[in-house]
Amino acid sequence: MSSCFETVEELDLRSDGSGKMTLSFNGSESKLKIASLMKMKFVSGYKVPSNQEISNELHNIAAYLRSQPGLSNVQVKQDFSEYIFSISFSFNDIALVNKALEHIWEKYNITAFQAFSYNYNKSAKTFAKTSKVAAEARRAYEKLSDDDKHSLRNAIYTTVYRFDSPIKSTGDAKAKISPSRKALMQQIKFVDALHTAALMQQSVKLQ
Amino acid sequence: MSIATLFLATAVGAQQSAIPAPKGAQQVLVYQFPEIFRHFAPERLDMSETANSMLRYLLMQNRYYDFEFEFSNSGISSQSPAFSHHLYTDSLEYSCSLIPLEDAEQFKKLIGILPGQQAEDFSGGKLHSLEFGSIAYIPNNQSYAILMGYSGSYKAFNDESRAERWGVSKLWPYSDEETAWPIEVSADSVVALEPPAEALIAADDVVAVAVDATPVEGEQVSDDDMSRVSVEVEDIYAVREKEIDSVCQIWMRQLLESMLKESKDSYARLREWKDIKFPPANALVTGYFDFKAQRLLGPDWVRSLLGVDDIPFASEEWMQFSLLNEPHAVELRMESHVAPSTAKATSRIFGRKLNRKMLHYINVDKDISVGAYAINTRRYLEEVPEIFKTAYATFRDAEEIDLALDLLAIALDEKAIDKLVRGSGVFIFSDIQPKTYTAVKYNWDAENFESTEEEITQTTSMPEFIYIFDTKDAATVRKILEYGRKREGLSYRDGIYMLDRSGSMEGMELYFTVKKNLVFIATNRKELEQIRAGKRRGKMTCAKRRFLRKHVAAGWFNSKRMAEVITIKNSDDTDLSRIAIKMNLLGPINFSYDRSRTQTQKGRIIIHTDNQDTAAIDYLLHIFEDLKFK
Repeated sequence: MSSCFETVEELDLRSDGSGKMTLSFNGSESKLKIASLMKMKFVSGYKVPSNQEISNELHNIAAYLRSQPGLSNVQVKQDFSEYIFSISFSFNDIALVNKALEHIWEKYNITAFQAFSYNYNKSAKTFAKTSKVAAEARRAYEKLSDDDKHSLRNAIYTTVYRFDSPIKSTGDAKAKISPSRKALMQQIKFVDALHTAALMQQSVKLQ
Repeated sequence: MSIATLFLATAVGAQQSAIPAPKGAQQVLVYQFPEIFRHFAPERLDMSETANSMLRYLLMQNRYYDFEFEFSNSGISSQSPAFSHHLYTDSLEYSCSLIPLEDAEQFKKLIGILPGQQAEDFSGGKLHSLEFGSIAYIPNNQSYAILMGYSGSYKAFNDESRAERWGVSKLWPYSDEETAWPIEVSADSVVALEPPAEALIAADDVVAVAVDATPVEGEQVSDDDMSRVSVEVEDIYAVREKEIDSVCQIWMRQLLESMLKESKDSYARLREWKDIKFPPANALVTGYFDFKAQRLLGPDWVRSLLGVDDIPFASEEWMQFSLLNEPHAVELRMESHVAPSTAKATSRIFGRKLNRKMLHYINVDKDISVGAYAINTRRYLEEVPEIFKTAYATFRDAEEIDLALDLLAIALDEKAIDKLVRGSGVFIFSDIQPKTYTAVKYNWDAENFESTEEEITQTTSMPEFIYIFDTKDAATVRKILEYGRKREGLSYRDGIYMLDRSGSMEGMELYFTVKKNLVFIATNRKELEQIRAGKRRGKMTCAKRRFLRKHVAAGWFNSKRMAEVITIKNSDDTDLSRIAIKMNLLGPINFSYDRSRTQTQKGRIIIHTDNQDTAAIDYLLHIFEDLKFK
């Protein structure tokens, strides 16, 4: 029984630097395995949260985002029968997104593993995403049993960026650009992203 | 002296190692290198991750750090056994490895002792300091090495009186009390020594600094003062840590000295355990665990929560396991020695044989795995309160627990429960079936990369099982099931109840039925329909019947049958197919646990192998390591 999940990072960016962001997790294809794991207290040394704990944390994050000036329309979706969760919100300025994400990374100690931030230059019409994968993340992965590593082998990380203006060029030759040239998509394996931080970086020049 | 006694004495007496061992170790692991290297070339062991990790454990190497190890270049002798002792005291936990050497210089290089590194003359040998506070002792004849380390020092001096005795600084020295500590010679369980003079001097200095930095009440404390105080607090911690390490080093040397002075080897120490028997000559690795009057080995918060410092197991209790290589099998043999009260209780509890009727439902050819047990429920319920009373005797609320158990014993109708659940049970792992379920997948629009959700069908493999237990009160069982149906927790059709789990994440439904005073719980409705219809399910051999009825608990795992089932029904599952290939290389795996007549209880797991040119253990190791996903 192979197992996989998909994490999705979607960003709709307007020319004025405002837009909408959605972060999603889809564990539906592994829902039987996740359901079994959810019955355990610890897995590979990590505490397994309950459904209630997951729901609470999602709402805590949403409450935090709602409290931030410049962020609005915060929505949480959670489906515990399919293990699909998402948080979306609108923003006035992408710099506010970075601030909010920084807070969330710190709160959940994600900076120990991986963190990303965005940069948008209105005048130069450039957009960039920088990403850091901490050595700690790789060490944590190496410590996993072969069984657990095997389970993660099909996990995918998807990024989608949509813009008002067409894309002139991108720094990532492997990213797909839509026929309209207003959207860019990249799908990489979670394990590859862990070992090659460059795969998570993105740079776009708009027309 | 009878021949048997002479033989036993000879066998026991033949076990000697000549490496001094610590007294009172609660765990001892014996690596029988002569037997291991009868079956493995050193180069083969070097290729094995499992063997490597066991040898790293012997060498006390942290598994998170890189450590290059080749047995053939290690300097370790393959002609004598090696031992790993663990000793738990009320202060520290000591690890002690006793390693026979053939080349001391090679060994020193292996464990990181640099050429020319200073060594201490110690009791007829040299003492070397290693990383993380460990030490290595090699006698002048260089025939063996003793590696010793400790842990638990962080809590060893939480006891303030102990800290005072040994001159270890207080954690927070800001106090109005006198800071002169009287120094006594300790009656510590391990050693009794003066604390090192350096520790006392360092402690005095730290206290003096701390007193100067104490802020005066009402006075504004400047940032400079606060940063100076925080630096001083850090200094206090650092000094305290050094003091503790220094005392622990002294204790370790004291332990080593006592070992060398008494010069009793591991077998001599083990013979101090009541009724100990040593395993046969073909044992590769043996582990001994002494439970008598030891602490619960767990985190401090458990003890704190329970309000107890030591949770003693019954005295005289120990356990040993041995890994044995047979011509076409590998056996794990376990033996435990229990207290007379435990022996009496378990003898009463396991005083029944397996219900014969259950054997009609076991198919030795088709079932993948079978496990059966038989207890006397009434006697179990009679014995359990006393067993729990002994276990909880030192808890904070022992009196209340004792009273609650007495009341429970009064309330329990052992006879009635015994009638409802007699005590025989069989668990059958009958099949692996592909099961489909729906999942949500994201589809990405090629034009604008918008996503839509699509429902897809996935297939996974689920185990099928049947569990059977016996009853003499089928009417009450049916009443319970019927109540479940009326409460709409169960549905019913044609004599079979179903636990409605259509929305369940595990994808497993459970079915229940009662027939001929046997209660059946299964994941496959068809199995129960056939049982109810009287269709013959079972196929039993005399040998298997005897095997199941002879032991208190017994069973088997039919590896080749598992491989067959996977190949026929689940060949799309690549992970399972991989397992199938390996399972097909094994014979049956039998396990059993024997009825206790004396204070000894025995268990066995035997894995049959299809080896031809290699030893069974080598063959099994190959399969085991190949099964780990690479």
